[in-house]
Amino acid sequence: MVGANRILRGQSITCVVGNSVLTREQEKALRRKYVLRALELLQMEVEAPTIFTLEGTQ
Amino acid sequence: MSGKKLKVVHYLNQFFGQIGGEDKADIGFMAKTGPIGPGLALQKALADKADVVGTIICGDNYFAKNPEQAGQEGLRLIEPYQPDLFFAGPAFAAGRYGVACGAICKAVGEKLGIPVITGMHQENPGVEMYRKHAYVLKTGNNARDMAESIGHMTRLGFKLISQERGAHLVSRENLPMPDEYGYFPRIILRNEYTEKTAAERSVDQLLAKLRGQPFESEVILPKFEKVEPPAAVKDLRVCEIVLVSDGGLVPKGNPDGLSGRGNLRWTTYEIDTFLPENFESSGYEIAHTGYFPVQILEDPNRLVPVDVMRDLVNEGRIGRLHRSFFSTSGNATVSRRCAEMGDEMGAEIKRRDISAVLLTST
Repeated sequence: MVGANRILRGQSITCVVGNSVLTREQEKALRRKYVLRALELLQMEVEAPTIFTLEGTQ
Repeated sequence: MSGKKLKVVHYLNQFFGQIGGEDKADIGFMAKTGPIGPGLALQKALADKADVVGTIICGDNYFAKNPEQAGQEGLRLIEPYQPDLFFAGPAFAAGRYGVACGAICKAVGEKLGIPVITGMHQENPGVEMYRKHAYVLKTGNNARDMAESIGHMTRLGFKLISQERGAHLVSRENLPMPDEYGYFPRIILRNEYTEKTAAERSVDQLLAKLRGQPFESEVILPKFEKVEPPAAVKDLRVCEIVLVSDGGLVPKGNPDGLSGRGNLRWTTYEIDTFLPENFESSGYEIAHTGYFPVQILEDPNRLVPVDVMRDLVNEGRIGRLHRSFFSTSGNATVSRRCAEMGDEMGAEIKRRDISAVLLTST
């Protein structure tokens, strides 16, 4: 993602914020984790492009 | 070139034009007869082959307010001199001055069809903006480099004005090589004569690389500009957030005609109707040929997390989800158009008073 500064690594290219192996409920819970983490990053100051994961930084 | 002396016009900002410093940067255009400041060095380099007949001066702030318009205003002062060659600057690393030099070169080159030459340091924003429109010589980052830069600009000027034909180009055009003349490539593609085929040259380079020997790639990699990180969001509970994606998600039938590869368009869809809670998975398609779309077509929330965003709004954790979703397709699109689309979307997002963006990318 050229030009983006807060980058959260998604689940996969073909299923960015989901996982088709999980049940619908489990999958939505996982998606919620991604969105909450993304919202956390929006509230975080960064100085340069940084790649984050659900747990920390890459 | 006959015995007739060439006429040269030179552009300078208020500082090099000896009007004043930053306090005079708002001053408008003026034309003066003969060379001024760096123009004296230019005249010396041109020697008896050409005369600097006029100098056009403008304040950096005045020019920077609307560079394209200012370029046209400057052009009107330049035209009466009927120059054979036009020089601007050099601007070294000075940003506003570089943009001014580039813009005025562009205006003059397009209208008068004469060679236009300026000089800048590689970090100057004017390089990327105007190197396609002017010969931008590579210079150092400050005026200590003046005499040498002017020398290089003059050498290129004489080469361009000469009637010589280019020996290395199939077209035989008089187009000096960027490396030989020290200017930033103008992204002009021409066929040229070479001793070896592309296959031979690539193998030579690969062998050189394996041996740890130096080699020069013929591929020019794109330079990506740095984007200043936006400030952190203070309070999500009062935020309106918009969902954007470059995954090519569109309604069935692709009504806005996004391309699956090399796409140049972006569009918006109203979320209430585009992705309601009880969506029909048969109602979508993916205008993106760069990934396997089946999982996202089954449930578009896997790309654009509308379901979770709705929950978070209902729980009061975020203020609002913006009513439309911004959709584009990013697959082998030239980075310049990507940046433009980003600017266009950014302007629309600002206009709609949206506080933050979540962009999902495949």
